[in-house]
Amino acid sequence: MSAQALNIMLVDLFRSEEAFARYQQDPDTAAAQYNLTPEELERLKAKDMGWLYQQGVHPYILVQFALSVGYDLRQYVAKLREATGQGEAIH
Amino acid sequence: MAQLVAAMASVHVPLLTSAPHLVEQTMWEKINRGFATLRDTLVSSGADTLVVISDEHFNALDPRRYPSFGIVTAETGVGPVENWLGIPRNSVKVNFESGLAETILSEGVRQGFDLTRVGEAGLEHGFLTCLHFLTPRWDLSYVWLIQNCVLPPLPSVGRCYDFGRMVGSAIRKWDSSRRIAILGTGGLSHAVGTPDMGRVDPQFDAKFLDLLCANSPALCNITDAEMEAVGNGTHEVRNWVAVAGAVEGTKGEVVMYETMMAVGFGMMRFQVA
Repeated sequence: MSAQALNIMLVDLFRSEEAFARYQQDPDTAAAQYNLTPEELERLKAKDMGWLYQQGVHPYILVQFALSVGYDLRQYVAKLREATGQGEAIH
Repeated sequence: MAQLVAAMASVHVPLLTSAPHLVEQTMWEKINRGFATLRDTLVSSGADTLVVISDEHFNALDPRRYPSFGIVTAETGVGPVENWLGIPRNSVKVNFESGLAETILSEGVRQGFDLTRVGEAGLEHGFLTCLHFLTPRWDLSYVWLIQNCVLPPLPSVGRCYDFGRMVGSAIRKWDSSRRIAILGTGGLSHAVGTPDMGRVDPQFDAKFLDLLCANSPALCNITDAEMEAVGNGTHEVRNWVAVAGAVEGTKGEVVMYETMMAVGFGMMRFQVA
């Protein structure tokens, strides 16, 4: 299940400073063990939150990954709404 | 035997520590009053041990091996795991009451719950956020029980009530002179990481709090579909329901409720004698 590979990789990244540092230094090598597709890796490197959400990455995992890489929450939600056409105004 | 001397529940909104500047001053006053009320309840109860029932958000457990109910049995815990929580990473160390944890584990299995020994687990916002305000010196001993509120299939709300009832009975059976408080964290209505993030449902929250404060058996009729329709984060009310189970028959009162920070922001306490 590909989304599960993304889930596992993202959890590893946001839980470990060392894993995240290795990913930032060389994302292709760091991602090799997770068997992502080329498109998944490219979208991950691009921090394409809307696409990752639509692929089935767990929302709790995705939003924490977004926070750990410095995403603003409103920007994150806007990306998801843009990709899915779903969602309501933020209170 | 140990005594269960206080029972309460609160949201665990991580923005409280990660982005406190987003909270208006008037809201901070309400939040601080709410935490002060819970803190006073805790202190006046004479509790020396706090059992926290929360979910976790893939910071402590592995999505490939995810129990419905877990208990941390390590002697100590360190956190937060998160680098974005506004509390320096791994700056908090707590002492766990592993004797009570083992008692709950044994009693849970004896009563038919597939309660999983987690061993060591990094502390994360489900456990830490409320305690940052309630026990800022981290000077109690703690037990951390984890309910799966995030990775379907989830245990039913009724099962979580029964789980809490088991936890209450295990506490009262523990051969110790300790005074135990119990805290459920998470909820209320909100969405996490989805396009609906920001949506809250005060009607759902009001109905839920009415049932909870009455400690009504009707709590157990709340369905996954109802909570999912309100927002995926709403599933965390299971942690409040478990506290109700631990003090079955005891009524409660709402300490505060507001809609803010993209969540039905509430706190409550049970009137434990």
